[in-house]
Amino acid sequence: MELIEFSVGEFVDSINQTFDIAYPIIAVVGEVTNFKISKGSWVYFDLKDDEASIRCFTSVYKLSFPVEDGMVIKAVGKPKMHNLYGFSFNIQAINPVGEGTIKKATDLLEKKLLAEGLFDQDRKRSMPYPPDRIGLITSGESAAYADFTKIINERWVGLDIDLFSVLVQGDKAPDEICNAIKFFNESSTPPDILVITRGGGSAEDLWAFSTEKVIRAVAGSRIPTIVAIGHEIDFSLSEKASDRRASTPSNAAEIIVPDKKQISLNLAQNKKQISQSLENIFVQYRNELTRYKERLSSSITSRIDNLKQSLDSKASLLKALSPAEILKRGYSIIKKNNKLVRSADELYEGNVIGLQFYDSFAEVKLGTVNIKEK
Amino acid sequence: MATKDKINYNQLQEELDGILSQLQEGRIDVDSAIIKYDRGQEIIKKLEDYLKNAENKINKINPVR
Repeated sequence: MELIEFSVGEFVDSINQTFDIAYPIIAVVGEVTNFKISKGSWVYFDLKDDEASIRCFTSVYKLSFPVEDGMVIKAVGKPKMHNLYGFSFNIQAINPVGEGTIKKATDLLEKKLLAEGLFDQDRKRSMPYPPDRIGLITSGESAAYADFTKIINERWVGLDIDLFSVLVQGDKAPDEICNAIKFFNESSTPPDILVITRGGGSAEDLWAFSTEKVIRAVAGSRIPTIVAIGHEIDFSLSEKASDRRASTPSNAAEIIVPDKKQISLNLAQNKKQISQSLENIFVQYRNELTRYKERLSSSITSRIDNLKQSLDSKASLLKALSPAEILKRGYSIIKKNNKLVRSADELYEGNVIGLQFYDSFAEVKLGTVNIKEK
Repeated sequence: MATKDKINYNQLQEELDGILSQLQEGRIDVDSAIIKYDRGQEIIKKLEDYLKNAENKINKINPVR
């Protein structure tokens, strides 16, 4: 049998062609050792298990979380034979495997993004309450979707909900979630809020929502976001980057809209309040009118009293000055031929004169008249 | 609910709150109070009808997956 003879270069090319056919893209799970980053861009490490170890190569941009020795990861990529440095596994994406590594990866990423200020409280925006239009990012076939829409429909009305259905776990999930966030942000009529949610699952199932790209997409959304991942106890970093966190999909629905039953009760209450307020205003005006009436009538009464008093005092003065009162004091009026006698010069012997006293009248015939000077 | 029937809930609720606080404060002439009262009742009616009759609309942007 004749052996195929290659030059070294041809042999390397042939191996790579074989790799391309046999392993166009594969995932390898193993523990990271000898991790190092060269020139800030190139990443080298070994992936090992109890039986073997392979060299891996990638760029820092493909790392979805900070990697350290000892982490167990699932590396997605293809094998490659380099013409100078030999075999390496060229990685396109990595995911942490197992709770320990996920926890460690989450902690490292959290520390890094915290330092960048991505989770700062002052980045949180308020949301319109209730919103008019909702952009919903979840799997349209999931229990999370069913829970969210059930509670939303129970609580509120008139909402326009745009569902952008995405994979919520697995290798493709982060890109799909980012794509959906981008879609809504670039829309000419963006929704009022974005709801990003999924139900419970294992730490690996929920991982997509703690990947750096999803966290950054959530933090970078111009539309306010509410993120609800898993059950009460579950936690994802994109929740920390969102404007509002909800514990479950149902809880997200409870947070973003009021309960129509409560609002109906409030409206019934408002109806009473508004009638009561108008009644109060009427009472207030009626009281004011009564007060005006009282003031008006009391001012007229006091004016009449004043006039009466002044009339009384004038009447007594007049009375004091009347001739009758003067006669009472002992004076009398002398008349002759019905004319007042003002001087003794008018009197002659034999004249009949009238003497008017206060209580009687006398006619007197005069004897001798002796006039004496004053 | 068709878009044409759609009301701006927040705007109406805000207007109602304003009317309530003006009427409760009481420093308002009777004529304006009656106008406010009528408007308040009208808003309450609109909101009640909205809560009773409006529906949520779900629009699926891409094939569900």
